[in-house]
Amino acid sequence: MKPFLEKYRSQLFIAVVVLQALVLLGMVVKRQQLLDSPNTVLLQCEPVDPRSLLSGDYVILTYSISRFDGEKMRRLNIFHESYTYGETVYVALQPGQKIPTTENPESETAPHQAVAISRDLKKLRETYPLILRGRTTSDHQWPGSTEEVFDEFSSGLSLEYGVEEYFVPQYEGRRIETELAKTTVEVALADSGESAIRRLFLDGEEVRFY
Amino acid sequence: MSKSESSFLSRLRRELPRLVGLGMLGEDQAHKILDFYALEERDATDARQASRKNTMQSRIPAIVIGIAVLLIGVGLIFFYAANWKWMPPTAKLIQVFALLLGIYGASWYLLFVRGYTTAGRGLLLLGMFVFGAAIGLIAQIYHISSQPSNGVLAWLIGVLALSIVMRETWGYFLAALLAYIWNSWVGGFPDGGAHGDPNYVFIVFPVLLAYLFYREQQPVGLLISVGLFFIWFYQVNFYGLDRLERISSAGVEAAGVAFLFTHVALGIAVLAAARLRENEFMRAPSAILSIVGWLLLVVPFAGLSWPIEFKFTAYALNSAALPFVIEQVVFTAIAGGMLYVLMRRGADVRWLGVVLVVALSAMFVPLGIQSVLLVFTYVGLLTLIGAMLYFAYAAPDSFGARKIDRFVAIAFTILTLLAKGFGLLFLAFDNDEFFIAYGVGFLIFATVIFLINQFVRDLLHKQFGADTLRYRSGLIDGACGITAFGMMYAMSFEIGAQNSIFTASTVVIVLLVLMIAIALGLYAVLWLRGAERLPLALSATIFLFALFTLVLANPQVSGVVYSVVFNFLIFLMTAVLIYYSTRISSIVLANFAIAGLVIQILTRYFDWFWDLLSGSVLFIVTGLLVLVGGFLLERNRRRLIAAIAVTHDEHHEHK
Repeated sequence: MKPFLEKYRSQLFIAVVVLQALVLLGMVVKRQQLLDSPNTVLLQCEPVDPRSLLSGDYVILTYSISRFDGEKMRRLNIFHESYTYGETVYVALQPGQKIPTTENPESETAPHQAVAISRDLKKLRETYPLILRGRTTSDHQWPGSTEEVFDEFSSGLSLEYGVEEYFVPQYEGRRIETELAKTTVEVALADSGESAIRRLFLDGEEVRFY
Repeated sequence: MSKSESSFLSRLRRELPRLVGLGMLGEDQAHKILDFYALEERDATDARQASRKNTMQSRIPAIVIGIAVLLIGVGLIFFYAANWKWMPPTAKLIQVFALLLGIYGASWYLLFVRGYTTAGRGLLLLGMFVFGAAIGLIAQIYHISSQPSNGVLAWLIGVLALSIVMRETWGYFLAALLAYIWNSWVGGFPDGGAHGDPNYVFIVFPVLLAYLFYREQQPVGLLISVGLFFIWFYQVNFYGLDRLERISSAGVEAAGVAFLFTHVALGIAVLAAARLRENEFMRAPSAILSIVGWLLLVVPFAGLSWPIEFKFTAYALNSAALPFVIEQVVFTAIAGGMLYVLMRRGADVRWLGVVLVVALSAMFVPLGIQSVLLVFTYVGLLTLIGAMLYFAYAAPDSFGARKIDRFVAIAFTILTLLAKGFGLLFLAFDNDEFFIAYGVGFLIFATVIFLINQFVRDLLHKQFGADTLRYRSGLIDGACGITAFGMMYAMSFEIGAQNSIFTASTVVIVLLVLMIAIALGLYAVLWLRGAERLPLALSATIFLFALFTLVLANPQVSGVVYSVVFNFLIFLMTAVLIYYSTRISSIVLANFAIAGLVIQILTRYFDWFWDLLSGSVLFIVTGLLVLVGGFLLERNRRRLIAAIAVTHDEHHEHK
């Protein structure tokens, strides 16, 4: 190993640098391909705790599909299922009701709503075209008792999708944070359910920093 | 100049005037000898200072460039993190790629074309920082947040690959820092980290970094890698145990015990690693690894030598614990391999080999049965104490002989004695109907430790000679003596009715029989090996009387009997030790023994339990015993003086 390294050190240097550049390029290309996907959904943001969420240079986004309480779980028929932390699940989405924006009542946004949740992507795909891949961030154990007991002890199910952080120039996140209830995010979807933020809207208007 | 050379010179300064005084050397010759060595010393000091100065001077450019790289690197990362808005994302990407390739290109040019090593390596390191900044920038532009640890992982692998190719030590340090950051995200105690779960595969980073730092002779880096390894070890195992706990309660107990016994294999591997290379670079890591190694070795024996109830029989038979059993086997194989390497180099590794095999065999021992668990762990603990003491003092070509090992061995022995002593004393006060049983139990334990100490001393002295090997057995003997005195003192007061030891639980009886058997075995071996008789006889007397009292104890026996026995034993002990202190000319021992006697006399004077008549009998009997002791002392002194006189005469006649 030693003579080989010494003999080809100059070439190996170039090879590793090229590999590093390829890794970076790969990251860019993969992301760009995802963003160019024809499948997009619009997600409604929800206001979170009033404490400062501005962590340096990004805004933490939570969506209406980030938390499923007992009521939502009943509606999606996953009320009696158990989930453990860190499981991969798939969420099928459909356009929801159109909401007129405050600024311009004529323009309307229609954030997508969760219509089904499953661990089986293929099965879900048979019925629904728009599927988002998520990961559970809470345990959810069905205690096997009455629904009242469940409501008392379960905090529902939390999911994350990898689109929870929106990077912004320093000090520019506050506007979005204070208006999270009016914020929607356009997310591009890959066939695997992987997602990436394409655009962010505040009250129906696209927010651009560049 | 080394320490031994310096002590040689100072001894020469002391000895020369004496030799001149005896007429063996002239004043002039003495001066010449001293000048010769003093000049050599000065030359050596000058040369050392000059070389240190040169090294420092030659390092200045590297240090300056290093600081510059660090500042620029951190600055660049902040620069991209600031996410300025006057440039579109595409332009940002183009310029970060240009910067990365530009810096690496310049580094390549300086290193391979111009031969500017320091500047070239500075830029190389800067390139590694820019690589990280570029990853951060891409994550920022595309809002990638699902797995931020992957970005650090990509950075870590990139840095590591380039550092290996270029043998860039500072790159290894950067990689180690990134490995810690990455690990804190994907590891975490006990149920995984924020962005992932621990995994056996992750061992690759600590091991690779340790190898690279070892190759570059970087003690700090090596220790950083060892730290990373231990974080991995505990993360992966605690995570596994946490997962198992949700499935099987017997399984998690079996797995936990397997995990504790894996510490033995790991400890031996660490101890062996500390000894693989004996040079200046390994000095600090060896010392630290030695302490860690010995501590790991005792974990299962110290942790499990208590009456714990388990839900399994033998842990290897519990299928849920299989991954942990496999882990123990793998670490045992590694430790075994390392011991083999050391054995090939002539080190005596037999004892540690036995400990390794015993720890491995634990998986088939029904440790779920409490008496088996206690017998196994107590035998293990005592064997370890013996092995630690022996190896810490055995000759340098053997597996040991380091100051740090000696300190750890003696400290561990004394701490074990104190832990068991206080534990049993607490139990004695808590269950006063078994006060004598617990007290005598400790006396037997202290006797066993004392005998192990005698055995190791005898072994070492016969093997290496008492003069060359200064085995500090006195510290352990002293600790045994003081704790035994303390326990006997506690038992010398009036005690209420005692339960018979035969009504105690099986576990207690089994443990007592075991300790008695070990003690008797050691007495026999020591007696046959011709070890020093008097300390043996004294301890055997105390041991037998205590044992006798233990067997006799039952609710019908008056409390006075125990008190008389232990008062007698305390007097006997102090008297014999005072005598013995004069024989071995130990002022320390004499002082301790006299202090013990004074405490005993004062206590008995104020002890309301003794009426005047029995008190007077006690003092008269004691006085007679002391008188006999004094007579023996006098006879011994005369014999000694006579012996010295004979030697002196012979010496003169010889002349």
